[in-house]
Amino acid sequence: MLYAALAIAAAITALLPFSAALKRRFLANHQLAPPSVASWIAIGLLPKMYGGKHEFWMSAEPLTEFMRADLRRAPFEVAHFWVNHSPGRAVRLDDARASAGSVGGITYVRIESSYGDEALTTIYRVHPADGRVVVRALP
Amino acid sequence: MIADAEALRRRALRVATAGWLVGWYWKMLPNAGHLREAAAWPIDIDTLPALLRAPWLAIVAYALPLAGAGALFAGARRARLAGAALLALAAAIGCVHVELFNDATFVTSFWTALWIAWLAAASDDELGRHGPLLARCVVAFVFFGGAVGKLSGSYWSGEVFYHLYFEQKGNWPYSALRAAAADATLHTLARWFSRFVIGGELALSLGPLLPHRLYVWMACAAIAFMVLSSTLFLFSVLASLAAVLVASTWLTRLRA
Repeated sequence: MLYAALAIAAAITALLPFSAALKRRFLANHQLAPPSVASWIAIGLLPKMYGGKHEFWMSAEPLTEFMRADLRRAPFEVAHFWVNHSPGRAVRLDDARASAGSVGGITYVRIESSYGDEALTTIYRVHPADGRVVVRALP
Repeated sequence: MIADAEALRRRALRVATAGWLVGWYWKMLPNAGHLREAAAWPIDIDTLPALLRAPWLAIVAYALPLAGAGALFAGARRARLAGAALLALAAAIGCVHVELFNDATFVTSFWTALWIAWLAAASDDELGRHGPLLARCVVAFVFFGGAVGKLSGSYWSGEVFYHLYFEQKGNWPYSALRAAAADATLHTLARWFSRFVIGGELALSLGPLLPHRLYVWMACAAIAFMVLSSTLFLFSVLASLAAVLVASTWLTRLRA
């Protein structure tokens, strides 16, 4: 049984460099933007640490492509980080969650990931409301 | 030899479970702080169902292995199976809950918990024949996942490790290297560091094909290198892998 589970999981993992659909699902999981709950769970159980290239930017106003190309063009503060995997974690604001909640401001989180020839960018609007941190992807 | 099987199984279960728990709770203090903040300010994201956003579920999942380990240490066969199932369930939740998903600890814990469950359930005559090989398969699979994720130009060129380690990391040796070396040198170091890591992970993916003791030494040396070259926090991810390899080594005594 465990042999079979490992063989199936390893086969899916081995397909990653060759399957565009799998790459897109892989990147979507890293960015907390899965196409379905089933996909989220299936990919979530696979080992993918330090896999793919991931960066995110956090700012109080949306970061345009023009500003993204050179952060010195942004007339507001922008925090930029590289992360090993799962850049979607940035929307949780983690250490700053309580202070962000009490201040009540909006944070824009732009996440860029790529693997091989596939790339994905997701921009989230994060704001505290009614005791929660509301996270919504921008179209 | 088979007469010793139950004693060796118990010893292997205890070692694997103890190492698993060390990894799981290695970052207990930061994780407790994170879960406290999560309970105060839950995440509301519409891409995940409510259950996988509920802070109570993350807190229960994080605590659950204590009960599972108790059953594994003390119980009879059924209790041990239930205990191992609890470890796997807790880790599976960790892999997919919004508050925990980014921590690779839960992925390695999930696959090693499946090995612990197999160990709890296997018949005596299967222990020696399959236990060490399955442990190597689990560890090799985890490293294979890491290697495949790096099979891209941005890792081969060293770009990703340059930014993650040589540019961003504040700890030694990266801070000292930044102070001492030119940027071009750092890029070269990052390129060869990255290729070394990819090669190492691919070599560790060959676990099922290698002699058991050789692989255990190789993997444990790699784990020590990874922890020392990155951060001690990484031990949370890798402790369970080392634990199942060491535990499975006892089972080699049962080979005919």
